[in-house]
Amino acid sequence: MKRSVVFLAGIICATLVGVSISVLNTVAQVGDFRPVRVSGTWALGSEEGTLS
Amino acid sequence: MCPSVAGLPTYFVMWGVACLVCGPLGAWLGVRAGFPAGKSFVAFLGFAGLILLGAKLLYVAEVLLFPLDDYVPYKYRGPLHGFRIPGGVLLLAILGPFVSRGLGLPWKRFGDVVIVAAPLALVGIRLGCFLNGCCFGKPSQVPWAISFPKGSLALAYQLERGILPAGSSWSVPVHPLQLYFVFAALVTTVVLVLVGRSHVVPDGALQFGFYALFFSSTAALEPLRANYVTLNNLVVPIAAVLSASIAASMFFTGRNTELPVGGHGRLS
Repeated sequence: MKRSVVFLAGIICATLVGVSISVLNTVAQVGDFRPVRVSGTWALGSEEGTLS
Repeated sequence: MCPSVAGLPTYFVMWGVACLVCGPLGAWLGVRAGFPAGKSFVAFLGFAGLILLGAKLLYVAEVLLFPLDDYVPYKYRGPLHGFRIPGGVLLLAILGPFVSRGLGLPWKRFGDVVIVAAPLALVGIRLGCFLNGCCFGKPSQVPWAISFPKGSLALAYQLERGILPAGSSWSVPVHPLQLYFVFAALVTTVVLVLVGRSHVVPDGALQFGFYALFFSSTAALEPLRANYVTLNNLVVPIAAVLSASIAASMFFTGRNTELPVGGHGRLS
């Protein structure tokens, strides 16, 4: 029984930590967003493209 | 450039290794628990197909919705290019129970018995990512950061963005994100084995515990990826919360039923 409680607590903690990190990363990403013009093959294989 | 075996990219070789190891393992676990051998094997083939299909579908959705997220130019994308593993695990979580029920297997008990093979399969698949050179991390100075050689995706990505001067033959050391995923899958495997052996969790909670651990570990590691994959970062946290909620609800409302006669239970 104790092991099942630890498992459940572990699942909840892991989810809280993982989701928090992901949300913070997304917020930071949105804050950094600025379209830039780039040239070369790494922009969708075209001469120019817009990357964030 | 990536290592190949008999002309096959190592990425798919490792998918094959994962299937060859985990398919029979899952079927054996099913048989050991008292489920019919044929149905157990067919179910596992179905599960493998769902992971492959879901991984491709998430990538296709990403290309349609966020086409700039894939840094690989169109001209370098072969017909086999593009898989997002969380999509595969998500489709397994959604449709896996229907596959089991379609074969007349009790999806909660059967899923709990064989689910330990899933993180093991992910170990093989993520090793394939490492050998392929995809899914690499951000530049880092940690002692275990890895440089990728000429012809690798990491080097091309860094050259294009001006992180390195033209002519460089090795990438800036990056987080070996693929190996972090491998480590997370190994830890998840150990947790599932330890908890599964104790037979204390209600039916279905073990598999949804796996989904919660997979999605939460992926959510925690995605920020280390070199490029921001928008759809991954939208889908994965939501899937983590949903699967953890389902697992928790099973703890409070579910019950632990007996396995079929002669069954040895989960991996014990």
